[in-house]
Amino acid sequence: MTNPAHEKTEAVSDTPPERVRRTTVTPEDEVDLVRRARQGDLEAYDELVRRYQERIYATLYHMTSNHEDANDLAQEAFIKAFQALKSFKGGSSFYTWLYRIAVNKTINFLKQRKNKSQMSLNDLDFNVENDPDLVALISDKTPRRDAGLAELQEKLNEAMQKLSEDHRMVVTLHDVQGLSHEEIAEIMECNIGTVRSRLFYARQQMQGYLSDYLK
Amino acid sequence: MNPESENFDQLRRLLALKRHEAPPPRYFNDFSGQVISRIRANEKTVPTGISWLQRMWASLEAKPAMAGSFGVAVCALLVAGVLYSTKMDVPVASNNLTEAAAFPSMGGDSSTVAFNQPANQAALGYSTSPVMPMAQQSSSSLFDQFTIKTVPASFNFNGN
Repeated sequence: MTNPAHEKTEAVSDTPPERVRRTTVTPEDEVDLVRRARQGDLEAYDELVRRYQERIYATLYHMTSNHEDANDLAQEAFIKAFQALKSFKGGSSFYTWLYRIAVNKTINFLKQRKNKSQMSLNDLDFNVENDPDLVALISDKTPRRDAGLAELQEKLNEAMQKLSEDHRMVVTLHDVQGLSHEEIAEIMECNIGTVRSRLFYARQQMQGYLSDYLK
Repeated sequence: MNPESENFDQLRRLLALKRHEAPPPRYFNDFSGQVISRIRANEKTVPTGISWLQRMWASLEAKPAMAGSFGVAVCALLVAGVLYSTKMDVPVASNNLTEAAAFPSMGGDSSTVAFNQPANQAALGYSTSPVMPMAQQSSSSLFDQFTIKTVPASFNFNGN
């Protein structure tokens, strides 16, 4: 198991470029922050929240396709993690442990919310225009790129919402967030084979849903 | 089954679009502040730390495997309890039969009626002696008062 807190630079064939752009966090630094936070030091915990807020929020947003839900769930996950810090034994990294709390909370939320989903999507950032993968994909399809992107964004999110929670989580963590199979297996508390098979079926399903956009 | 062996390149390129969905600018400026404020507010409402029940609940929520094993343990306890109670019922039934077989020789009609009362079956399970005063046993029912009077009557008959 690799520690996600480390700068990860190995070239995995399907690792997205964003994966490499992680902030450098020394493990000793993080262990110290966790130790202080366990003793009730809220400044230390504030630092931990700042380190992981964007990644946790993004995962939950991609799972829910709803900005407000993602915000609430992310805050609740951080609060729950603080309350449960005393039970954190350090067997895994803080990052994996935190992710597990957020993932479990989100899956429970989605199971309760079943069939009541309403998308509340974030805007695309300005860099999207320069993403080579998307430029190639969009320019072939639509002459009006803005309209094409908005439509694609909606269809993509609709397709994601059609997946089961577990399948959606694997696609989100691997294909969007760029986590390795091993990390996902640890977060979702299953074996790597299960992660691979879920990823395969999820991709197959999504390819079917988005067949009009993947010619 | 290897998900990388299939040709999902276009799908993965499309999924790259998801990475560009971002919350409004400066959205995260106050995020950690909100989390810390909520933690502080929670600490104020909980006066003396977290109770053992809350800690257990938190650990169960954080680890579904632990929640599952807790559920299995509770079910196992329940099943063990049921099995144990059914085992306890077997001697009760045999005792009841023994007593019922013994009574005709005693010739006490009123006692037989008393032993056949369903309300007294539990009491019989703990005492095979008809001499034992029923008043010593739990008497939560009004019917127990009735059996206190009938049991000694049969023994008076045998003694004569």
